[in-house]
Amino acid sequence: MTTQFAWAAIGCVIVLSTVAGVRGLSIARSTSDFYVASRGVRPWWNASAIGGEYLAAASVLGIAGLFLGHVEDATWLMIGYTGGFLVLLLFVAAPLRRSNAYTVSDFAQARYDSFAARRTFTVCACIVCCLYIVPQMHGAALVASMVLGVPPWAGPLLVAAVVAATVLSGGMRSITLAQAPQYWIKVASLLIPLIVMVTVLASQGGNVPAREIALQQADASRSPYWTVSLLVALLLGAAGLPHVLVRFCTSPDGRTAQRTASLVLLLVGAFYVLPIAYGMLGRRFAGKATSPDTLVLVLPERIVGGTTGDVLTAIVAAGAFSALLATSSGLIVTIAGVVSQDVFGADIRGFRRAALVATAVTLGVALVTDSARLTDTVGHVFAFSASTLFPALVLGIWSRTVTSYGAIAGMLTGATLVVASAVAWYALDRPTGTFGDLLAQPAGWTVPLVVAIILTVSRLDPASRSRLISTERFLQQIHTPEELPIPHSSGLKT
Amino acid sequence: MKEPDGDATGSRPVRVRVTAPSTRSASDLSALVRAQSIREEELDRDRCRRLVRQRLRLALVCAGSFAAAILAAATATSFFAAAVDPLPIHWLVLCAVAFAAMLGSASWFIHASNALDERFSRQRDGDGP
Repeated sequence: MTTQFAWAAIGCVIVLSTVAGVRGLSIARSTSDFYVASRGVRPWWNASAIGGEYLAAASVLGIAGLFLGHVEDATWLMIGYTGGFLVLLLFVAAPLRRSNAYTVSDFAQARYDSFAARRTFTVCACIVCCLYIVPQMHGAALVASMVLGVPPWAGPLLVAAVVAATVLSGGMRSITLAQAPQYWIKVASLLIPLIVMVTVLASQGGNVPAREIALQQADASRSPYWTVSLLVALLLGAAGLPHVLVRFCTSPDGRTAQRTASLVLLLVGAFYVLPIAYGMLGRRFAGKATSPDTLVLVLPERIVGGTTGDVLTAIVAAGAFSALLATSSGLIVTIAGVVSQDVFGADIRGFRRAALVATAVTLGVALVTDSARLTDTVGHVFAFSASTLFPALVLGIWSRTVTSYGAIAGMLTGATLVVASAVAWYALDRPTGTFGDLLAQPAGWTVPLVVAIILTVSRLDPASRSRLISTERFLQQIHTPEELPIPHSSGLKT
Repeated sequence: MKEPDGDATGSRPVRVRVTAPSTRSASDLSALVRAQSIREEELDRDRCRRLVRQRLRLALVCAGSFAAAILAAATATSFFAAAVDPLPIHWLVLCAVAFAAMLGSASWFIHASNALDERFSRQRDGDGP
């Protein structure tokens, strides 16, 4: 019975996404529509779309499951995921928008005046997006096998098909129309079952027998290094995620981008109340055998049961599927945006071809790889972003002396170190202790190292003095409020 | 042929001597304008630099305040670790404090950043110090 309800609920989400895509097709006509929705997205709508895109499978399915034995991890993950938008607001949002860039690669080229820097940003953005999208596909496989009664490979295939249809039809314009409602679908899909579950528990006067205490292990304490490093990765990594950054390029101006970031903070923070509530219920009612990633899906059936439980499970599954669609479509648009300009040509046709290739490649990778725990996989993506894109972006925004060679050297070092750490951590079967912490959470040592490398190489670079004037003009442009004429504008044109 | 500028009385029109300004004075004027333009440019650049510095300082102070709030809350909750079955409640308190600190820092930054922009605009328009 759950399967039929789940098909119906997920079908509604798919129809909504497709309708939004078709609507976007009727509106989106220019290249600017496809890349940045013609920079006309208002703060509330944009904040909802960012919330829809950012709160991925790890947030909807993974966080609540961590309450079964890793409350400390769950707490820091929620703080880090949300706090990343504070960092973005403080250091990135308005200057990035005022640069008039379409993508992070455009920003790199305008700031560093270098194709090599642009290519490095493009490669890092693609790696981040691919690493981020694969766990979404794994989440789709999980939902498909659990509630739809189909083989696991069908989930990623379904997500890829819907995402391709939405993105190809209208690019950023279409997915903006789809992602904003998807945030509210996610909230509703967790809130409605939660209200029903709490009502059922209250009506039974707390006499519902707890299955068995679901803790899979005692709440283990983490080392201070682990905690700080995780926070560094999440706070800085979130502010460097290319699919989030590109959404701030859709704001009308810098001040609106700041307002959008503050609203996202509010929306994302409010959302995390729901996984906390599920986690609390899960610790009491889930049962020992429950996998952390499936806690949210099994809880309604465990507490409510019967047909109502099936309907509630279907609603939760629809929310999870909505998260997968929203995040995946944002990632595909970002990959298409950066790749099309460098490979296929910066027009609508090139954008569509790049989107198609990106969808096919990420689907292929997802089908041939195994699923690690969702929050683990996404954690490494944040460390990668914090060690590559974020330092080069922020130092480019705030420092006059950073050069393209410095940025490239730092990004390559950061990428190499984070990838090596992640590979070693998995290859050594997740070692523990100090060495394990250094490999599992590399951002704590890679980010300071990357910043030092960027500053040192830039200082040694003879071009740092010769390009000082043009760099200063660019910085004037991105830090000056828009209503004023920019005296010596040298940045990109809208 | 009639004199085009003559009047009805037939008197000759007043001759106006039109001479081109001397090359020397033109170059003086050009240099003056150029110097003024350069001065304005430098003034603009100085104002922009000051704006960037002030905004960076503001962003760092906001980020530092957020970090301090998190650190304080984490330290405090570790001393008062308490569990209300089935959840260790001190983690929830930490979450709530962190969220409040984020929102507080964000609103402070936006308010102060807008004030910086407005002051910059006034200075550029010549109304301010």
